[in-house]
Amino acid sequence: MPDVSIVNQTVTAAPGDYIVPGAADLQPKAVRAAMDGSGAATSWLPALQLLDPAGHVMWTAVDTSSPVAAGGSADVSWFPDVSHSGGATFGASWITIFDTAVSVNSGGGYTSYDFTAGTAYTNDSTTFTIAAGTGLHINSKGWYAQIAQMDWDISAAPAGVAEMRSGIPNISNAMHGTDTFLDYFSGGVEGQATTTLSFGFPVNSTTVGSHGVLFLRQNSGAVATCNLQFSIVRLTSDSGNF
Amino acid sequence: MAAPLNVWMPDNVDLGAGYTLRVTALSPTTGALVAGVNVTTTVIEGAGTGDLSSGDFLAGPFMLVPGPNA
Repeated sequence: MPDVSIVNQTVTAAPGDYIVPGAADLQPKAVRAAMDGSGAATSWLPALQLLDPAGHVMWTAVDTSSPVAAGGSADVSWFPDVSHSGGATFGASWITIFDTAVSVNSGGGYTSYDFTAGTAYTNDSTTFTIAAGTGLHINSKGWYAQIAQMDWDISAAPAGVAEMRSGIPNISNAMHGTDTFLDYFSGGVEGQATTTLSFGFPVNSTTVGSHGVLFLRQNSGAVATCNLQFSIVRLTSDSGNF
Repeated sequence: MAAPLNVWMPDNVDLGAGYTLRVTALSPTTGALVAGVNVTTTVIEGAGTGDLSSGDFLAGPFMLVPGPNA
């Protein structure tokens, strides 16, 4: 059965009603209304309502995010299961830090990297701050995801193994017993001119002010440099355990 | 009246005789009818049976009151 178009172009003061006539049956698929609010002294919301035969409002379809200003007009359409997205913006807090030519000595000891030499970009300078020595501070509770990548330049060094380890912050209560460090990633350099190591894992900041640095090491036998990219994004404001 | 929530038109609505589709203007703060708004055109797309075009388009609550000769 094809759809029908039921049209009313008579200007009426809101509300404008359509009553399903006797012996008829209607499955509405869309409703459009042109509304002239030039006489409205306040802002208003175009709305579509269904009333039962006794006059009870059964539902109201309305977009509260788009009020029409006083005196304004609107041409509005309603569709099943479709609403305004609200123009939501990406609200997660994040920070990304870049650095180049980070020098890492060869040997068993870690080189501490506190991010201060890098270039940081963030949309939330309250949640994320960087301090010399103590590194990246996370000032809001929550679950975070951190992603790190380092590109090693070992062209002047013999083959070795590089490792990067994050101390930001601990998730000791949730996943790793009493470990202070979250996790680490290591890989063989195998004498290639460059190699990339990366990791990604969650962070649970259960206390405001959690902070940490990156730990880098390699055992190529000579000083090597790497380019770093470190990103962390806040996933939730709930810091509860899994 | 409480302010309305942000909801959409439900799916699979099947209306029998006497049900009303109402286009209206509500206050964002109270949900009450806002005066001074005219509905200049209403178009309903739908499927159904019967002579739907004979349905009553009524203007304002005052039109719901039967007239002297009703």
